[in-house]
Amino acid sequence: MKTEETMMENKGAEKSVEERILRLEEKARQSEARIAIADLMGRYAFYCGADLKERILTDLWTKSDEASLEYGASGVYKERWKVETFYNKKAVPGKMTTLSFSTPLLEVSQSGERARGLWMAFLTETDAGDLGTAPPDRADGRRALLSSITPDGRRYRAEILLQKYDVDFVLEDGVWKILHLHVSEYFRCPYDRDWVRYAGERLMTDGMWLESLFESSKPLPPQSHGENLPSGPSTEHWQYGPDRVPEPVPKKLPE
Amino acid sequence: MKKSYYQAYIGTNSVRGSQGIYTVRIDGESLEAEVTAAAQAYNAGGVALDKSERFLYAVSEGMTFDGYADGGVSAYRIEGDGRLTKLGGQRSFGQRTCCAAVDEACENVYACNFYCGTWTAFPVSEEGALLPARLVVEPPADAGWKALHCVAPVGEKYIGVISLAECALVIYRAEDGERVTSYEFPNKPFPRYFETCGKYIYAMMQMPDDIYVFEEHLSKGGGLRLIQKISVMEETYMGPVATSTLRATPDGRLLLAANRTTNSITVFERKTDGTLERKSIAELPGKGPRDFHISGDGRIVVAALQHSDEISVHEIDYENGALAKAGGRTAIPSPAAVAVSGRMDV
Repeated sequence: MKTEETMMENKGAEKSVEERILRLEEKARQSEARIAIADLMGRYAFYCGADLKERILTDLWTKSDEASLEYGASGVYKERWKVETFYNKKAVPGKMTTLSFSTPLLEVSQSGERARGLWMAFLTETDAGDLGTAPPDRADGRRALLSSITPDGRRYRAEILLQKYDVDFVLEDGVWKILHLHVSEYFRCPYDRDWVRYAGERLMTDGMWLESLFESSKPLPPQSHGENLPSGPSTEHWQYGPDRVPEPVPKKLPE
Repeated sequence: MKKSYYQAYIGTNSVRGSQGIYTVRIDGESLEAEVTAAAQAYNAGGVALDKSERFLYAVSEGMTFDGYADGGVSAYRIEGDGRLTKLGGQRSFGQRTCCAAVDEACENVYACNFYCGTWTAFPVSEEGALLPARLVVEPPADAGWKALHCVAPVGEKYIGVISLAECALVIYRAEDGERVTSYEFPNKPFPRYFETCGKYIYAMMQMPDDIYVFEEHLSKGGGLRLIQKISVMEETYMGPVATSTLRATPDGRLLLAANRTTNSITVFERKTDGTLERKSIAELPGKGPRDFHISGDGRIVVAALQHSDEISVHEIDYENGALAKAGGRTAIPSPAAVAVSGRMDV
């Protein structure tokens, strides 16, 4: 005959098994989320290099107007149409971006519906400029972004960049999507220079560089009134300078 | 008769091939203008001449300055031939710095920031360079949209700003940034600009096109007393409005106000009691007057026609309260800000 004590022990054991199952299910969800998010960012890098930026928008970003994107000191671009302007770029012969991510620092929320990740990223940015088949107009002010010059004065761009990606994700209909993206550009410099000596020189074109990132190849929607200005000021920003000490950006890290 | 000229400094947006800040020489007789120099500057959306006309201060109306998420102000020395020599700049602790002003004594430059809604005071060195900000004044913490649109000295002791956050004209003590008084515009218009003339302050809304006329009693410990409200366009005008700049002639007889949707400048006569009477509305030859400035001798006005990439020069007809003889139109990409010297002899 079971004693009261034995019955309570059995109940304790059952609860323990139930708890263990719940914990295992939770771990499985977290692992699946991590794998899915890592795959998402892997595809982000691939789509960048393959000039499939429209696929980044359609496949990887939320369709919600809660979407936001911030790049360096650009200020925050909120709403889906503003985020789209970052990716809507015409394909130009001789232009290329390559992107490779480090191992992430990832956190998935208890609810399993939100996540946050940090990646370092190493990039190359290429624009054949005057060396390509679609050289920019002589009067185009954006020529100043072509930071390399041949001995005979032709301009082009071949830069290396170090960035940090701070990304918020949301689970939509069982699929992970990017909700907020904040890219910090630690440095960029022409391939044949170094980022220490270039740090001062890049300041001349930083503003133009930021503006060019949000120029869309598609017409702006009516609510834009013809302008694509940031929705608000920058949140956090740090970029390399010989007089600067590194600061943690973002200040609150995933655990 | 001695030949004479004026010199104007045109700040531009960094688009359509702009080279930065253009120096323009204007013939004193024909009012024909030609570009004589250009100094590299990024989005120089506001410029201010000091009283001695030896130094020019230009805002950087962008999101980054010297690698910081900031706007900024740069100082330039004006050389004998009109070229600008950069003396350096300072960050302004707010992005999209949109307006700069120099005090009467040329000891301080003030700037206001569209994003973050801060205004900043920079001491000026004897050589005209800007020193790091001595004062950064933040908007009230509970303000919904923190943005400023215009900053200028009010007398010797005060600074006024147009605050979009509070939809108000706000007056601060220049020395320490202590808030003194404010006037909140009713029915939430879009406030744009203000000008002072003696003890009167004129605050203009972008939309609707109202000018509020105040008598200030700041030195007596009082505030701002509203004495008139008048529209830039005629009362019968029902079309869209987007005013930009408001300035008084140096002698205070006239007040000019630009409206971008009609590409016009309205000329008001200022009465001795500070109130305004609309005298004429002059159509400008181009599009989008983003700014204009009146020469130090009050004879001419130079308008920055941002959307048609040009400036135009006009003589002011004080007798009739109108714009009279015009000089030619001079092509400059996306002009956004103007400062004009007094008349100079060749």
